[in-house]
Amino acid sequence: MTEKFKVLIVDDDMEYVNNFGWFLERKGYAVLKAGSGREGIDIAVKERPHIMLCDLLMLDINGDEVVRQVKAASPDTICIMISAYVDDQTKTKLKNMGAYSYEEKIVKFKATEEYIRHVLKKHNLL
Amino acid sequence: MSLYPLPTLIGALWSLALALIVLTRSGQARVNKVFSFLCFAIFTWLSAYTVAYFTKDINIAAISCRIACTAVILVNPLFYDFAVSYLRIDRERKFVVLAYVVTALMVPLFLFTNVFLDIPHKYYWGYYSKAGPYHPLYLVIFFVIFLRSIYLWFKAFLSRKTLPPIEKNRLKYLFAVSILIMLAGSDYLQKYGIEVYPFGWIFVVLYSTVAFMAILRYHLLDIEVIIKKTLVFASLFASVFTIAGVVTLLLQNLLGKFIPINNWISIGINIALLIFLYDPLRNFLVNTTNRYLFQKRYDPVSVIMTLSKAVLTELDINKIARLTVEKLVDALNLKSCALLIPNKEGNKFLIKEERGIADSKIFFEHNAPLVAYLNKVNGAALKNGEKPLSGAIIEDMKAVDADVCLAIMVHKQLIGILAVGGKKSDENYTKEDINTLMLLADALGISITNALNFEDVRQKEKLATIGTLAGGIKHEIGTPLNKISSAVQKFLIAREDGDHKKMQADEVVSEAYDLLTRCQMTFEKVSAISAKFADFAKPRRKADLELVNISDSIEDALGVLEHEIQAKNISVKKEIQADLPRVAADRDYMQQIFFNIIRNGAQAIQEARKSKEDSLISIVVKEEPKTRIHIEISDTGVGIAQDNLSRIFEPYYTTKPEGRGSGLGLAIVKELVERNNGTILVRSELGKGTSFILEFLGASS
Repeated sequence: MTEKFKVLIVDDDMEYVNNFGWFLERKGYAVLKAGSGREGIDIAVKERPHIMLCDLLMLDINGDEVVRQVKAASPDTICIMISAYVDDQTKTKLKNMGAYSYEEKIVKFKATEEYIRHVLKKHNLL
Repeated sequence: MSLYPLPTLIGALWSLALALIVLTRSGQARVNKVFSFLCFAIFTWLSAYTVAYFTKDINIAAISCRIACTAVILVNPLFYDFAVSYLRIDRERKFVVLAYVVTALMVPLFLFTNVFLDIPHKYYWGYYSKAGPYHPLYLVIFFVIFLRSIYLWFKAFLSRKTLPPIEKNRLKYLFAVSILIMLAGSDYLQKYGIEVYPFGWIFVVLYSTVAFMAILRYHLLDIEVIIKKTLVFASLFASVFTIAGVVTLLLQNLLGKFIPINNWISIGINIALLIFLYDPLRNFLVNTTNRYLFQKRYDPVSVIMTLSKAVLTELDINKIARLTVEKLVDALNLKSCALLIPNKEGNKFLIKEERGIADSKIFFEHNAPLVAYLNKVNGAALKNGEKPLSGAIIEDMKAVDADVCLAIMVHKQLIGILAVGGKKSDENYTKEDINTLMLLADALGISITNALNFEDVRQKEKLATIGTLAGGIKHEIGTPLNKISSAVQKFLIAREDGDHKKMQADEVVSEAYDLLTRCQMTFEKVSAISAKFADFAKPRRKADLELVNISDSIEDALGVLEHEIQAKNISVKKEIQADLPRVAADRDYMQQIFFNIIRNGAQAIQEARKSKEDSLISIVVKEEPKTRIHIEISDTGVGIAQDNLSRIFEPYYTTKPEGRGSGLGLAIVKELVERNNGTILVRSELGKGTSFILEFLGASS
């Protein structure tokens, strides 16, 4: 198998992080997990994952702030922001920072993994 | 014929007129009766002397003089009584009684004995009383009482600074009146043989005039005399031309000896005067009488402008109608006024509120001449205006006793009619009056529309806020669903991948059972969440009274706002007293009240960009004496500037940028609070935060 892609999953809901992480590992990704925004930033800065899947509305810090900090320390990390509802203002803000917004909050494992592959292809990594 | 009785007669009649006005027009208060008796006594005195001057019979003169003097001594205690009663100096009352007693003792002595009065002496003007041996004693008593009274008036006059302006003016006039009455008493000099025509009558005429002016200008003794301007002008005109006629007659008599003048020339001169002096004389009279007699109590224009603003802040149609009609009648001193609005079907205009209308059941069909005219002209219909109106329109206006009818229009549609009756003073409506009334009609248009559409407005506002919570709703439902979905997906994929073949059957079933249990719990939870939003958004046509638990209403509102508050990192501190009495109110209204207030607080905190520790909404609910429930909801948000504080409950008033706020939230809150018989206050400090304080009455038992 080729080099594993490192995926960092950041969300308040640890159960979902663990379940989705389990699925992505089966799909051949190296999974990193974070249960809060700040934890996510720390891990991203240290490990420099290829992909970061992050919830926009977290308790301790908002997703767009996480993107700002991660992009500053690890510019190559592709940020995919997941949320139930993204307003146009935030969508534009994210686009300007080079992040993706993915409007699906129930995260469907298979469809989301397909989206990750699509993004990796777009960046010529696949 | 002797002219000497004439002045005293004039004085007597003047005083009598004043006595009658006070007696008939003022209230039942004792002080008013005392004053009118005082005037009667003065009338008696002067009319008795009129007889004495007139008669040639010494016996009649003697009786008249005694009557006159008795009346005079009665003036003493009455004058003292008036001062003490008007100024409310209770500790002097016993001295007033003493004065009455002393006077009562003197009365028979004056009438039947020669102790104080001797037989009258015939002066050049007629018979007049002569002082008896003990008269100086009476004079001492007279002076003591009079000077004490004057002293009381003087003291009151000096300390008038603390009184309201109208009282100050009344006191000024009364002080003058008291001095004039005392001067009128100067007629005792003639009793000692001083041969000067008694001039007390001058002061009597003066005091009556001053009192009368005080009544007209400052409602002295609470007498309201509404003088018809036409009557005043007519009498003044007549007097002026009578005097002119008399003067020409005298001149004719005088000059007739030197120059041949006959009657025709005099008449011609009078007619010429009439033609040339009519206009300037009329203007002069109008200006003087306006300045001295028809002083308006307050400026009606500013009162109506205040009314317009007040009406714009009302959302209840009944309150709007009552406020408008009452304030207009008061400000313009109207005979009648009515506000008509369309019925539900929109085919008739019915009277919503009226004062002084003869037939309050009157209504207009939508095609009535007046209605059609107002619709067309979008302004005012004037009974006595420059534009003549058709007979049918005038008939309609007469039916509502209106001199002026104003169209209340919104979007080119007639939604109300303001029927303004004539002024009590019969003054005409000036152009300024009409323009001001039209501005009021504009304000009424807006506020009537708001009020009639209140339920719609309230519902729209609710849905609009729900709309902006859409993101929060999706998140609130999405989060628990995502959680259980991840567990379910894991199970399904594990099965697809064949993981379960490696497990015991009952292990797999057990895992499935746990999963399905959790699914069911989540279904119920999500169902509850969507129900809470649906319940909030549900439209309700009419108010529904039930026994509402305030803390439940607050919890409902917090439930709907839970996500928004959390997303803004705001902590909520609740101090809700247990066992609060319930309130008879509409549950839906209560929920909307707390929802709007708490949401405003959350938005204010977000605007302030405060740190998490400083972002707090605190809710305190406690029971106060008399089963009142006191609620205080405070936030640590941006606060409201003192200038804006008085306007925040105004409909459409908002400090938010275009499109961000409807400006209706707090206006609706205030209206809903009032419909639940509660009160609401706001306190705020820029940069620190805002507090809303509400109070409701608990239902007894």
